[in-house]
Amino acid sequence: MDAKKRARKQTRVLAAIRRDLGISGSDKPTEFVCICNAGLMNGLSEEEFLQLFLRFGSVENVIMPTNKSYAFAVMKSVESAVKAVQSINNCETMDRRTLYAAFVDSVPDLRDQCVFDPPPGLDIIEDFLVDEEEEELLAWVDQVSDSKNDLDDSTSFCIITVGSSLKHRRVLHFGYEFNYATNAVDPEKPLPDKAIPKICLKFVKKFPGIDEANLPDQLTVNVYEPGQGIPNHVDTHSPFSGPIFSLSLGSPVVMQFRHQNRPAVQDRSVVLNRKSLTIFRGESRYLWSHGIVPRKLDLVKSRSNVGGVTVLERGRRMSLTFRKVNPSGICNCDYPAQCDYQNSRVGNVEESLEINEDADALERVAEELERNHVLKVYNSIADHFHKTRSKAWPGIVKFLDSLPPHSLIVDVGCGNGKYVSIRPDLTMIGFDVTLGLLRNAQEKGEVFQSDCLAIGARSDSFDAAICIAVVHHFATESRRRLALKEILRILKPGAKGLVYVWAKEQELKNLKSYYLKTRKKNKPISESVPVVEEIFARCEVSSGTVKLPVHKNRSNFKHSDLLVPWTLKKMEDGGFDKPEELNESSKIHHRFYHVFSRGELFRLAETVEGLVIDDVYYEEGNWCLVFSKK
Amino acid sequence: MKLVTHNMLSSKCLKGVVKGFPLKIHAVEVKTHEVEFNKEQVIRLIPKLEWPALCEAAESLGELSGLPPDVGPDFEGDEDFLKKAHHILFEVDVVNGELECPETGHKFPVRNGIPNMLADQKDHSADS
Repeated sequence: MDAKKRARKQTRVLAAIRRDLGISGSDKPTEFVCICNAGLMNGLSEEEFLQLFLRFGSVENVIMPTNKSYAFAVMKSVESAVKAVQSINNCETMDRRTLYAAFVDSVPDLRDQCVFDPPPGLDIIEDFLVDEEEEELLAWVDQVSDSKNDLDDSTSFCIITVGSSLKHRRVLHFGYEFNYATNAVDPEKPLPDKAIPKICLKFVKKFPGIDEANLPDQLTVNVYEPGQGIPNHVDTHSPFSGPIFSLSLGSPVVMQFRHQNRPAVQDRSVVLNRKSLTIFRGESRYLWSHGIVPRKLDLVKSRSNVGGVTVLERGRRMSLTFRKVNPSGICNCDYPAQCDYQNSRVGNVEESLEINEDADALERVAEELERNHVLKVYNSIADHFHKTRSKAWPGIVKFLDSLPPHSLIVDVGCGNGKYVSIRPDLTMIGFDVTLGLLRNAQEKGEVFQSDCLAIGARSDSFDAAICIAVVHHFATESRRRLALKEILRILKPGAKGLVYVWAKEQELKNLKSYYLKTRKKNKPISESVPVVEEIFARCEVSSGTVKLPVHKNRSNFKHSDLLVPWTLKKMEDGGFDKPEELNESSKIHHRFYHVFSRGELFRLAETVEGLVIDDVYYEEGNWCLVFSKK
Repeated sequence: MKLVTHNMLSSKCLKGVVKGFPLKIHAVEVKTHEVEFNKEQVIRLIPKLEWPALCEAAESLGELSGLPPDVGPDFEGDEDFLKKAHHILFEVDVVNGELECPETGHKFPVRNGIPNMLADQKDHSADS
């Protein structure tokens, strides 16, 4: 390479280094030497790099950034650094490559550029197999992979296509076929005559914590030629129970782990050595994805240099992965946001409990949930709630205005009593289960404390009923139906009722509800907000826990059953509540809601005997029902 | 709790209770205060009420003051009767006491003017 070309190339690389790391080339000799055209990126190993520099004197450190084709050496003396730069630029070659070197003013600190620690829950038992056992298994894999190669035969190896054709790896399944589209197996379809072979079972029985009862029954054999990988994935939770075990044979490889819901958590590069057993449990099983990057070289921890990174060439590798199929399909892991099973149940109280068969148990849980997440919450937030609830909805005013003068009206779940004195020529009596709210309502009219599911009022006695924002607080469909039945009971025949419940659809006919529109006043939700991590809360009930999603205020509903946080809001005058209330009420309270989908209120009302549906309409994010008693 | 409200309450919320009406009043504290007389309101309300129960309630509070046991056919024109009815319906307020289920003897407390008709009292303590 002529000097001119070398200088030009060098300038370009040094500019890139300055951009990447803030490190500049130096005109004067320093002890810091940069190799401008070789690094981890193009396969220079730390050992080779170190060997090169040791020829010129003592080396203090070598620093090799990942994904870069440059690297740094720190020489003990400037003299040996001068010797190195001169010698390298004087046609020093490595692997028939011409190298060129330059002095730089400093070197980067890259101790944290790669994290090699396994993610939590991952255990690696090194030398689980002895050499003879590894050979035995390698020979067996070769035998089964050679004996049959008809791709249409399910008992043979199949080639998994990943991206370009160079990245194929071969897999073979025993017990059940692993489906790479779903990262799952179908527990209903065991592979006929293809149980895990005896040769493997003798090792499986030595896995920690394994006995006859939880013996793995699914095996996937993977054969990786150098350069082949497997895309990052999480084995779907529900099809498998217990840990996943993987035996590594042949060449070591780096497995990449990635945290599934916190991108800021650094990836982990875990070396899987030959003869080792890897056990995936807890976070590493359920919360982190794993995969093998298709490449011929891996970056591994330097043995000589603390915090350093070097490259390791891959050879042919095989892995035997053992799983236990979970016929129940139930997964109660601690990572509900990543769990297919819990996600399919979440947002539905009835289904989130494993007690569908037992109606009484479900009833008790629903009661507890309502007590803790409706009644207690309203008692705690009553005064603050009262200050924020004063606007009367137009549909309700219209309904009340349609009633004959001096009708006797019951306000079911009257809350702070905002409708109790809305029309002076109506006699209205309100009730609510929450005493805290009734104390506010009492200032406006007559009230009593009662439960909507067992109303302490006589049958066939009221001319009309309104029930606003109440029925959506009941946790099961049967309780929501019971609420309608009870309201109907206390009405006179022919009397009218009005029910408002919160709608799951907050944007109907492209009209955003008042609820959605008001979010602008608080905090603009920008379109570029990154995917919001869904938050789940566990509601403790005596029979266990119910996991429910926590709604993000002023956003659309994703689930039907959820918790809506109540936090201290700024008052209209811009101030907060009385300061002494601040600490108490600034706590976040979670209210339980079942939001109604389109048609749901109609279908519920249809099942109540003696109830005649007059109208169902949508108003400001609510589904509204007008009915009469037969 | 005004007597108009008492007239609507029942212990039907208790399991097994058939009618649960009228609830016997055991008053500890009763207040009376003047409420503007609305003739039309009283006329419209009276047919919606259980009149004998109202009389019974008024009597137990010592407020019967000549109210007839039956509502006469010409009550709408009987200004004196309407005013008496207005008084016991709207001006007498049971502040503290108990309501008793006629079928089971179950007691519902009345505190600070609010009758507690919850079947299961301990589960619904208000102050948490």
